[in-house]
Amino acid sequence: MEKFALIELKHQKIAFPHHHIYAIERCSQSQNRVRISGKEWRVMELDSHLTMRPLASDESEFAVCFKAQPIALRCAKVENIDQIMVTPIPLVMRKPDSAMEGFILHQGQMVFLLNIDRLLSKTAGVSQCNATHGV
Amino acid sequence: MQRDAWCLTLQNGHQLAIAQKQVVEYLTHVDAITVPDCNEQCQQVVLWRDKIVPLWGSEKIVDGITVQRHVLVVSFASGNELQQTELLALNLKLPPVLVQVVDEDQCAPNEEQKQYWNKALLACFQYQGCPVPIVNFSSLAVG
Repeated sequence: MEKFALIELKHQKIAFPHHHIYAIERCSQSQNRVRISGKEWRVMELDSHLTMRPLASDESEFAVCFKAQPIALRCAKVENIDQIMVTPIPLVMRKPDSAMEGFILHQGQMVFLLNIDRLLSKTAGVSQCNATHGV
Repeated sequence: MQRDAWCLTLQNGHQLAIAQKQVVEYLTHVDAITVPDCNEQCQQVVLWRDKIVPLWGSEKIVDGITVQRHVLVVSFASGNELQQTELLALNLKLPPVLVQVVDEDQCAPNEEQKQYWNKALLACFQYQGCPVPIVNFSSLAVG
């Protein structure tokens, strides 16, 4: 059975399959990089529109380091869930290339189930674009 | 032939009419949850009897949770071959109005209605001098 990571962010709760996570590290407010065994991740925030931002306004104390990209997501809490009932996003709400896949009701609260590959690939695209333009 | 229908004014100002049998429940106090990164016409959901139901017709989308005062939950057959019953919540500006529709009231939709409802627009009838669309909800997703 696939485990899911439930991540508490500043604005919302999200979930995705646990196997995307490389490590979870404590992270100070001013810290914008995480280093583990010679590898480095850039700490970013996910805003309420599901856009990754390199700002450090969030005081959350953890960073989730992903396997696929050198990006770490700042968060307040990470919880594992063994079994979940997922409601896929209704057809009428779907948007091409969206990272939003569905919903989980967890302890009476709405959790957004995300496609992390899609979310991170968009973020990587933005980083490359910014680098090209010298941002 | 005369049929009863509910005439609805969405929060965003668009009107439509639905058959009486499509109405599931009228809610006068419900939390709408904004969902990021989805179709701009339908960016909120409501929780109704432990089901997550998409909310259509909102005027202004704000992050987080907002309370809505006139929400009509409607059912329709899905457009696929299984013909499952699906639910949609309509965010209304005003309470629903019961109207009688006769064949002679049929008229053409205006350009704005054609653009907004797109492939979901089935027909239109005249009510109080305005064209009111009849909509196929299963086509909203591909509209």
